[in-house]
Amino acid sequence: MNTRFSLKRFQALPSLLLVLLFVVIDAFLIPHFLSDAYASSFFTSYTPLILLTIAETVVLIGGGIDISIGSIVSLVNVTWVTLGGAGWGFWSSLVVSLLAGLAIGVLNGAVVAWLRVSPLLVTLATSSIAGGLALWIMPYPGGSASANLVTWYQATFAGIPAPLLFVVIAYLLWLGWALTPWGLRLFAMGNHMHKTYVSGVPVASIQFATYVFSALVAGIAAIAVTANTGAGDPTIGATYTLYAIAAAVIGGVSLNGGVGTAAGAIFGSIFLGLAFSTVYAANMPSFYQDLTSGAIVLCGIIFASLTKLRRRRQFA
Amino acid sequence: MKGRPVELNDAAVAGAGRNIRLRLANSKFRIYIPVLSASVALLILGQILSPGFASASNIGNLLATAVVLAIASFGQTLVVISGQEGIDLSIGAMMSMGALIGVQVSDQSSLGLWGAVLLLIGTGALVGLIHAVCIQFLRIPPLVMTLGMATVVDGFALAYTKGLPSGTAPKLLTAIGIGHVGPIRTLLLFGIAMVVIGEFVLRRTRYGRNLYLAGSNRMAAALSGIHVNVVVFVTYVIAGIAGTLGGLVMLGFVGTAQLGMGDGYTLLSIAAVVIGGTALAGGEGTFLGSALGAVVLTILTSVLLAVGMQEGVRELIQGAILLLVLAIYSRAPKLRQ
Amino acid sequence: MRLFECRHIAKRYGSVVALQDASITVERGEIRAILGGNGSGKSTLSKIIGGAVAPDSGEMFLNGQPYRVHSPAQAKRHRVVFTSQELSLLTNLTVEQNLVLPQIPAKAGVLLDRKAMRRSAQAVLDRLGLADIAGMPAASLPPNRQFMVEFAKALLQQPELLIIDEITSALYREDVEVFKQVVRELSAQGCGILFISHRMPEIFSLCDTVTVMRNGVVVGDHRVDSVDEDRLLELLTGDRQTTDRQAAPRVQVHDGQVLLSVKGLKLPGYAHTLDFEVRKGEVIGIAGLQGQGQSQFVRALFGMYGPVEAVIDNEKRVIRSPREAVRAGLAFLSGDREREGVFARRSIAENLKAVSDGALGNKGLPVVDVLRQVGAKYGKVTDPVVSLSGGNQQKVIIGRWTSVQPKLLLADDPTKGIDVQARHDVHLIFRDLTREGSAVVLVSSDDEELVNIARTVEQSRIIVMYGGRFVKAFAGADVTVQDIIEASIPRREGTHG
Repeated sequence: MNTRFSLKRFQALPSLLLVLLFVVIDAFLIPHFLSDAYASSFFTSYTPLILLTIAETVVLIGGGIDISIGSIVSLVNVTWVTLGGAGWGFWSSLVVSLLAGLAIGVLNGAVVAWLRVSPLLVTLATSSIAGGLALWIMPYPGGSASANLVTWYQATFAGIPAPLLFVVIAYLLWLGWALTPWGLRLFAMGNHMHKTYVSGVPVASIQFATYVFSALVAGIAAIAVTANTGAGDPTIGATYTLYAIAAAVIGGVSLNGGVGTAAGAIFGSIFLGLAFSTVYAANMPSFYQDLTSGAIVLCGIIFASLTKLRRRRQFA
Repeated sequence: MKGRPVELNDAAVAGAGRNIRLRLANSKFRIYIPVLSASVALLILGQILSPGFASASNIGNLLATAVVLAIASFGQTLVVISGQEGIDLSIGAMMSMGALIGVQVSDQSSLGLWGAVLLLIGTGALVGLIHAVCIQFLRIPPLVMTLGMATVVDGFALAYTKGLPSGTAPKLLTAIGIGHVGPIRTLLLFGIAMVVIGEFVLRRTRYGRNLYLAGSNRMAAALSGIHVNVVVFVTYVIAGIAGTLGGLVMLGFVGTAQLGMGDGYTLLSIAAVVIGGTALAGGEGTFLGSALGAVVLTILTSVLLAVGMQEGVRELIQGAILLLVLAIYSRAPKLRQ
Repeated sequence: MRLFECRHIAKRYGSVVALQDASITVERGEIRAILGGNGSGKSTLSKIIGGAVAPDSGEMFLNGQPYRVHSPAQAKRHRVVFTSQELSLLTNLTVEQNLVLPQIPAKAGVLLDRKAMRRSAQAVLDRLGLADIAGMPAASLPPNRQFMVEFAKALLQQPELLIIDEITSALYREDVEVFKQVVRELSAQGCGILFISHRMPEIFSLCDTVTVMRNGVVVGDHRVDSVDEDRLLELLTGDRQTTDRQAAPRVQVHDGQVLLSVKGLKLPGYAHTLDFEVRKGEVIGIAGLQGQGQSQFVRALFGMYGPVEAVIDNEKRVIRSPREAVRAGLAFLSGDREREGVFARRSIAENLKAVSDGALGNKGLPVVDVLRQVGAKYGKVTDPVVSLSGGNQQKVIIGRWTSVQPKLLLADDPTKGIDVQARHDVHLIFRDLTREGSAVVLVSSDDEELVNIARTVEQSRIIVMYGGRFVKAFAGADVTVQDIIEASIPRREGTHG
């Protein structure tokens, strides 16, 4: 009966096993897979996804969902590149861009927590707002990011790829939940909003905080995206939302709330990255790649749901 | 019920003014008043900003454009009524796929248009079936399931066309899409027929009535002996078929097929459904409402276009309006009762 | 010294009046019982004091100061704590995490202090004699333990005013003794206690004063040493005629042939199986303490937990789902209208036709006739069902079933939260059903209701359940509340085993 959940159990285990499995497969399939260079290129590509999965995970644990994170990435990306192009300094333009992303998170959180509208629809609407803003600011891909940033992002330090710094930052932010009373309140709220409220927990504030958190981490992910592409693109974030949700689910995060870890999020997103890498390595024509990666994502979601499916009791 | 869709048409509103006022006073139709007045206000605004906006021919164009969105909202309405967070984020992708496969099969294979129609019905039903199985039995939230399916469907369309869609719409489709019957756009008649049939299905068939009940309270429906699984399956299958066939109509309207041409309809269809008064909690809603919602949104988009607003701003405003409507109509009860 | 006072509190939910006029005082160290039947408003009052429900009108004072709270969190800052029969434990947390949730200990005000968490959790668990459960997932505890943890959670908040809502009915006897001991200690420290219960012995052994509520109104306020049980019962029921009604003239209307029989029925959560038989024209009341398998029993019969083999009208049938149960002529009426009964967003007529049209695809009896038959008061059949009062909503749902003339109606606490008159009407509908040859199996958490209905209908049995078994059966109209209670209460020797 108590298999349901305990914070102590290592829920990330299945996704870790999946990661290990794909590492073994790819070691044979992809030339130089186990080299520093490959690791570095892997993390330059998939660090944004890892971050966005952590962002999504916190919202999902709290019983919500945020489908605006992809658009927030686009918004921060184009704002930063545009301001940079207009002569702003590196840091000042970065701060303003991150604030733009945060504003979307604040809007999400306020409408969900205090106006009590379904998070799914709120973030669907705000993803259109953020995406529209991004398109308005920069109708076509272009501009260029700071060259120093791009160079730094590709580098490794003592064998450690630079992008991992972002993962470390996101993980530290996650610890802001995991190591404090707020984490306990977050998990409680995700399990049952009203019971948690009755226990004297300020649930609206926590809900609000989850959306601000996800927007902040999505903003950091946008820094990584910008450093990786070196340019602005108003639709760069669009596909990330689904991948982040899928990676979280594969990493053991429950879509019903109250269950999940950042470790699971990280392993889930690395697994997706490895799966995509395998697809690209298979040298199939480019127009089959979208279908294949889409199918992988969907199968991952279905598979993760299957493993969670206990004896179904409709009327329990 | 037969008379209702005529309200879409301004001339008819003027002609039967008194009658409609009477009927609007009836509480059932009062919910459409904001939508109708918003349409009229937007038309006036459009006329002021860009003379000729409210001309008969442009209104015909607007309504025809609205029909394409109304078609996209058709499946969305059913799925939302079915409740349990029902939502279909694959509608846009399904319509794109419908148009792409439709044009390629009818143009370049021996199957012809009707073969394409059958093929698309099969594809739509299959996708709907997969949705229903995963949502109903694997308990995957509809949002996540249909969003995931949207990428697969888009990927499939890309793979199918090898990235290079080709061909032009068959004549029959363009006749529906841009032709006229007398002075009236064929597409408008098509849309009216769709709403009438849809409302008939919702009210006069057992499936429709059970859909409302299952959407209002799944548990109570199951305990009353209603076959909830059948209701959910039928709903998602219809939504799938409506998506692919809707793509064909869109193809007739546009004339050619492009990758991702229907993607914008996903968000718009949800907005149309919400504006049309369908409760996102399920168990409530009408096709007529969604169709009117489509009309308002279409006029709004046209007004924005008429004043030269670019795509990003339009998207921004659409999102803001959806958020506003949600904040007004779709709030959950307070935690403190 | 006066700790708490509330005056003229009122609260409605839509058309349902939960509280009409409630005024209560609590002195420091006072243990005050609030006694009331289901739907008397006692739980609503406790939630209002605890900050979880907003009152429509009335005023409250704590320590002589106006007491206005907008959330449970704020009430807790005033050290006003309420524990409720609806458990507030989170199933994904451990016991200790649940215990500290209202006040989580932190190091340097920031970091979660696991040691302090364990320490304070363990201290309060020890006080309640619950060793070794601190680290266990709350969901893995049996219900009685969960209620003790719920109580522990309240204790940990060092309440000044503690409201205890119906916790003891789920506790074992030894737990109840510990519970009473702790409550007395709190009282000695000056804490005021509102103890909501319907168990007379506990009220007399624990409390100083008692407030009696009925239909949302305070109808009596006494020192327990100045009243006796009979007087309280009189206040509680108000209407004597329903309790002491003359037994109805007993006519054997049907030959009493077996309508349904099952053998080896398995209830979820219990290892053993049950055999059961019901005759035409019979009402079977299922009694027992809360959570002894009564609800699962009727639900299992209705096919909710998987296939059931039953002989219905001498015909062998397998019922795999509620849908098949309905097709076999069974009906299910839940007391949880919101979740399991009413289609809130649909009209009265649609609600009424859910079974006839929705499930069976036939016309059923005409809507207006059925509504008249069940005595529902309504405006138009196209009005939304939620425009009706709770009792009338329930009548509509009953009409949903009577319109298809079911053979057997299974009812799970169907009159929960509806007023006395509506409740009586429901009983009369059941009687009419049995007169037409149908049978009714009625689970009730209210023993008095079972006694009443046994006297209303011609043929009845009352079966008492404990631990998922039938432990005692009483025939007909001669049963008393006392009989049922005696048969319900667990004995330590395990005579029920």
